[in-house]
Amino acid sequence: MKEVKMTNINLEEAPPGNELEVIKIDTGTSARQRLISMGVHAGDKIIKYNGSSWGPILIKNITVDSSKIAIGRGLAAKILVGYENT
Amino acid sequence: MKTPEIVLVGQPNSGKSTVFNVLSDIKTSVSNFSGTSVEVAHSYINLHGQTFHLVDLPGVYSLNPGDEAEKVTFAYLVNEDIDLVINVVDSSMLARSLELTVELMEFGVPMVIALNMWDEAERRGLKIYPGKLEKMLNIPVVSTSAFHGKGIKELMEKCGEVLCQDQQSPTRMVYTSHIEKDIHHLESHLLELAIEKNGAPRFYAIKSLENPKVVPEDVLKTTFHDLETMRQQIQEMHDRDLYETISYERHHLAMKLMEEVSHFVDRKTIPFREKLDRYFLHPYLGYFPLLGFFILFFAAIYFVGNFLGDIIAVPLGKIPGLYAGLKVQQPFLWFTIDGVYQGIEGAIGIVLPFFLPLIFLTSLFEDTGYLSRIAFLVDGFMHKIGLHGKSAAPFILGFGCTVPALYGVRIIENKRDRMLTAILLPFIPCSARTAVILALTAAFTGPFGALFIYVFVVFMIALTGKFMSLFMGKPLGLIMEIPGLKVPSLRVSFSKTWMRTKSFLKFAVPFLIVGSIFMGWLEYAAVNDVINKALSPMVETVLGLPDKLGSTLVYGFFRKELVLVMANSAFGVQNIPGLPMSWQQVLVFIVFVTLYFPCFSTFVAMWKEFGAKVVWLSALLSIVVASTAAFLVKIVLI
Repeated sequence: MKEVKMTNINLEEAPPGNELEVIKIDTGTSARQRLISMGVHAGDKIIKYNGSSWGPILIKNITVDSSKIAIGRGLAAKILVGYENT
Repeated sequence: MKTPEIVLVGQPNSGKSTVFNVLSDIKTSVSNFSGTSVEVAHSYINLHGQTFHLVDLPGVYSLNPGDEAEKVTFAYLVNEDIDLVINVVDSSMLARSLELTVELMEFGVPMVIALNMWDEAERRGLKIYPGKLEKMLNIPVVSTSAFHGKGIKELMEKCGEVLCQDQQSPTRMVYTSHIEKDIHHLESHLLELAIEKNGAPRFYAIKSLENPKVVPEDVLKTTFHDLETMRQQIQEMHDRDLYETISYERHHLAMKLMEEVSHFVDRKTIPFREKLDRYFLHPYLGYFPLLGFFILFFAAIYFVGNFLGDIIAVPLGKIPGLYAGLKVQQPFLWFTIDGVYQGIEGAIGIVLPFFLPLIFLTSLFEDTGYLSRIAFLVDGFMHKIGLHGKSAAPFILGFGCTVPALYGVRIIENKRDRMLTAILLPFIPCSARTAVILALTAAFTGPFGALFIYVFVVFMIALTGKFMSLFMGKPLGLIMEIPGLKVPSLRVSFSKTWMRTKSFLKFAVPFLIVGSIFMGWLEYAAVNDVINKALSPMVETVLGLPDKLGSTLVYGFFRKELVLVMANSAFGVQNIPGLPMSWQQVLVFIVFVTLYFPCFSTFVAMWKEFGAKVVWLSALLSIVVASTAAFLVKIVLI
């Protein structure tokens, strides 16, 4: 079996278009609670939509209802995600 | 007997207001409830001869309030006398919505679930079995599509049934065993305690662990002794905070439910709306539809507003003739009556024509979900002035009229951001000020003058925002759902427009009338010269303008467009080009008029929404900003 290697990176710098797994939401408490109540949890599979260098990051949560959520860059930098390196 | 109260609870964009509006159509003679400061929509409906009090609560993602709107809902649920909850669920967001459903079940009021936007779920390829869900939760479930008016009758029938029952016994949602043990333990302590708030002991037991902030103090006192050790134990065991642990548990419960009651069928094509979104949300291409939207929006308001204004102006213009005879015989009475007329004319003849299309288009666009796409696109810019994307919508509205824009500020979660947005809003030139700007520049400088004014004003707003945010701390980062695009309902938009217009008229007209009578008396007392003298240090010395403009500024406080009329009469000239001012002076004057005190209606609306303190702050700030800006222009030009 081929070994699957996970690369961890923050959401702001993560490559767009790939399937990412949320590893840790390391923002302040209120932002984390807000994200959780909007259905973003550690372990969820998400896709980052845009690769632009400014403006908020747009994600689609594949695990939970394919909901789309915009996250400010500052917060996105504090969300750790992982993706499979092939 | 008390009228049974039914409240609608659901996540944002679950189509809750549509359900409310469709239900409200079956109104009794008692119409909408008003006079309270609670920001919730009320209605009385009549069903099979029985009257129900229906309440639409602001959307909540969970029962852990995160923003103002969520706090309103939580407080309402906990404190008011509620007989039934209709949990409106967005079927296309089933997994996330069920988390709230689980929480509401824990809360323990009788409830009925409306699986709304049924058609939207099907479009996404999600097949749901309401019967299964009903069985698993032991709560009535009705699938509805409020937009098409489907399932509403069944929903109300179920509500009637549940209200007749003595008790509802929903299935208990069970957490991991060791947490369940703690909940059970806390709950047993609470059983003897008479909790003065709504909510089952189990609900407070869970909340004590999850989010003690929202638990009433007497409850916490009872659970407190064991609580800390329990919290610590669970925290160590799961290696994350309690809030997360409990939320994740609930998330898994919801996911399990979702798996049991639904499945995905393959969809072959990408829905058209998804394709549209690729452009709307594109980091570069997205600005083209945005620009198109702006142009359409303002053009529509401008044309419809002028059209309506012209129609209304004809009958309104005839009224002063009816009491004109009094002017000579009884001038005081004439000025009083004219004040009343001016007040009504201001509300109906000037504000309303622009207010109506503005409110209608906003209601329409609110429901399409496009406003959140605008917020997404402009977030980058807004951060530069200490705000974020969510302030964009009120700013856009501000170009039409500041008053409805102030009401639009409600959509922003964070108090700091709401305040800053509200304080900056009056600086945006509304349609009345646009009239002043365009008329004066047309007469004295040509279009470049107008362009200069707009660029300069936007620059001053950005500067003020930047400056104010130094004192207000950093904005919270943006977290915003981008709901699916929807076709708006004309019926709902009409009904929203009607409700908002009514509440505006009820509130603003008395103030406008009183203000106008006062202005009439000032004119009667011929105090213009006194005012001019009092204001001359400011007008003449600082700004280098003729001192006769002083009194026009006072009139401008009541209605900005009055500045023009009053300036003409102050100098005794017939038309604007006749004003004895240089073009430099005119630019200074425009800058000052645009930025100083917003109009009286704005103050009133601001008072209503944010309280007296914010009004004073805004007044002070606007004077400072207007003087500074106009002074700068004077130094450079004159």
